[in-house]
Amino acid sequence: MQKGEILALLGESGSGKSTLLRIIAGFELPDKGSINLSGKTICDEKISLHPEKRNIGLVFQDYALFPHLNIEKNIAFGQKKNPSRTTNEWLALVGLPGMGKRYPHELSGGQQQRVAIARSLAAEPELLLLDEPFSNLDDSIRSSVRGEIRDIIRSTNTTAVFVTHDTRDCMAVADKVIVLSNGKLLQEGDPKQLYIQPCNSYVARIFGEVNIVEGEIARQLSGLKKFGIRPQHIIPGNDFSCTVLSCRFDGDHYDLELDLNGSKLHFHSDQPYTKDEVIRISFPKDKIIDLSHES
Amino acid sequence: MIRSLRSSYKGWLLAGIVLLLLIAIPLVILFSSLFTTPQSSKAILEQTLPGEAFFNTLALCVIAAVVSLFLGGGTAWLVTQYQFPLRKFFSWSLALPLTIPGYILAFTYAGIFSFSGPLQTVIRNQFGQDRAQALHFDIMNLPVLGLLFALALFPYVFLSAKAAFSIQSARQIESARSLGKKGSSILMKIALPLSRPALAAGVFLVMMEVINDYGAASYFGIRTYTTALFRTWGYDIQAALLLAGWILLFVFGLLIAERLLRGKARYQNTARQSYVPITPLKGFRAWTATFLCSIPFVFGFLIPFSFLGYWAMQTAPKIMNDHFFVLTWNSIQLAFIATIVIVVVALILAYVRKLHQSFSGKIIAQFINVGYAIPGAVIAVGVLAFSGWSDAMIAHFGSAKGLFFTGSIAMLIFAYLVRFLAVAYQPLEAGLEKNHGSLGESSRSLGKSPLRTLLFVELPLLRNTVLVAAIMVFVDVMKELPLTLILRPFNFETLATETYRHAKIMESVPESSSAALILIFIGAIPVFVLSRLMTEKHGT
Repeated sequence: MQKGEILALLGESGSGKSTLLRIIAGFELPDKGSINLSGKTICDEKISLHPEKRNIGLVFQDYALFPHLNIEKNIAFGQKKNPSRTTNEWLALVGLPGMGKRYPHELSGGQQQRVAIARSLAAEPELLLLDEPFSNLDDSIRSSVRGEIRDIIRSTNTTAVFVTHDTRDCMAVADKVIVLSNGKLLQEGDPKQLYIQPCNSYVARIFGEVNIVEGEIARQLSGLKKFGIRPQHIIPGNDFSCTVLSCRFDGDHYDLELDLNGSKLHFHSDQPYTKDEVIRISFPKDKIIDLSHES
Repeated sequence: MIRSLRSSYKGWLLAGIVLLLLIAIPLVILFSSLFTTPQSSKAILEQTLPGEAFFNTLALCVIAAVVSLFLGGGTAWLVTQYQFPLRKFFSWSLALPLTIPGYILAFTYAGIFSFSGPLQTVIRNQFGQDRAQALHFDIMNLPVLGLLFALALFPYVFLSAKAAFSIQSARQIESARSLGKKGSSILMKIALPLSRPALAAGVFLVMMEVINDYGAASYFGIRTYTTALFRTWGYDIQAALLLAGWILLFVFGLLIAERLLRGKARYQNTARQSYVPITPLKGFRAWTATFLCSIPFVFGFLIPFSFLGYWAMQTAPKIMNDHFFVLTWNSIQLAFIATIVIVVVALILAYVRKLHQSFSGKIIAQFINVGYAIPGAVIAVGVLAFSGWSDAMIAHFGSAKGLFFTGSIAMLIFAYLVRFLAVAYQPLEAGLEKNHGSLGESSRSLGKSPLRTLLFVELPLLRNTVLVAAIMVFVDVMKELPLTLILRPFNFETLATETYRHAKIMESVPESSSAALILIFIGAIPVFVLSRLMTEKHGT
């Protein structure tokens, strides 16, 4: 990782992403492999530094603020001698000026989270880890929080790794994403690359709805043995005709289920169609996800 | 497989193991004595200890267990299920008999019924000598003693049954109601089977206390394992060790029985807390419930407490002298130091357990919890052997000769530690467990060592729990009689031994009442503190 980079570990629950985070933080020991931080080995088969010796900050999913200490003391808890910022400066940085004397339970969830991040950053770690930082927040504030957190981490130029199961978190916050499944690394890259060129159908699916077509019909349609196309990337055109199986209003578009020579496809359309109506569509070449290595 | 880093805190684990080994030494000595006792000592034991002691101990256990199951379980059912006059009062006051140690209750009733006691005095004055002779009944026998133990100890069953009835099986009770079942059949078919683990735990505590007793049985002249241990210890330490080893086996037998009774039935922990609707009782039935609840309260607390108060007022001028103040101060100091030692050790062990959520951690917890089941006299004999051995070592290798450990306060406190460690350990372990794991880990990832994390994060959050643990240990140490009798330094009296000395040796129960009352008042502290902490928790 580069200094100041923000990396997302993306995976479903049980994919090993939280365990990886705990290994980096030093709360679990790996069987094999090693971890290097700023040129020194903090963990390999022989040695393992204790968490408190690693200078790695970890922000917990439940924030884990100390309930018996006020906000100021929480932030000061891990501060080193001659800190670069005072607790008040930290409070200002995370948008909570003057809240230092309050106690954690007097704050909202979003505020608690910012305190938790400030507390970890105030210890001036070489690496900041965040475990599912957005999962405990209401949908209504989540997108604004993503931006705030990214800006806070950026403004301190801290290298950060966060864990999530939500691709929207990756898109909004991460410079680089690693997709994990069953403890294995599937793909890494920047979020846009993963979205446009997922390495397999699993990665394609977690980044959003996708039609997977394979077999003879796939060859007819694209010349590939297997490919994927996202519903919103299908456009009305002249290449293939298909029958509408159902049409459902989905807010900003109509979600159509189409039958194309016995293969079912989803298509996001601006206008409604009726059942059994025949329509013609096209697949833009640059939107086709090549999955032929999977078949 | 991913190993948890927790198991790599070697220093803490080592400290835990060293502490545990130290605590285990007296018990190891006792166990080994089962195999190494010389033939002559065995012969002495077999001559002096026929099956009588075994039978008596078992009989007392059974009577106390059955009666307290009825008293404790029955009253707990009433106060959790029905509304009747004084229900609120009974739901906490039925714990009060626990404040009177078994031996004090026994002394008090013996005093009430004795020839010079208040009952006989009244009858004699009213109806004359002959009538009094005829109306005197001797209560100093085994069934009455078993009954008195039940009166003193039934709150163990009451408290665990009350918790089980009011929380754990609430949902099942509600669904049984909605299926059309009546109170009594719900009790037999739902509440009792569901609360079996809790009831077994309560009854087990009762039996442990019965086995632990020395004062009451010796006063009543009934030979039990523990009184036999005291006699044997007087002339043959080897035989005493063997006997203590046997008692240990007996207790472990009961422990295994309790585990089996509880079985895999750990369902008491599964249900979430919910509210049991209380059925109001009317008229005769309501007053019957009040009457039933008042029986154990009156006989287990009100009568003995009143007589002790009456006697204390009569005898205080004679008793309250410098000697009394010195021994009260002795008691408090001793209990205070012991409490600090025990709570600190328990805290270290509980924290090791938290750092090591592994196999070794589980062993620690199991081992400590077994410790509380071992009678004080048994531990005392083990510690005595240990200190004798240590003194012999010093005499052998060092230049000095003498008794450094035997009869020292240090050994007495060490014995309290072995006996009462579990009392402090259990709440501390539960409290640490409740502190969310991420708090400790947060502190560590912010650069604080485990020790600093314990001191600045875990401990401040545990303030109430530490207080509760300390109070319970303090009270237990104050009341402990058999262990103190055996291990105290020469001429060192505590409130507990003073009570025993007046009642048994000076044969004056009234003169023992002042010390007894102080013990009761101290024993009442946990009842009030605990119930206040409970209500505080509900408040927030």
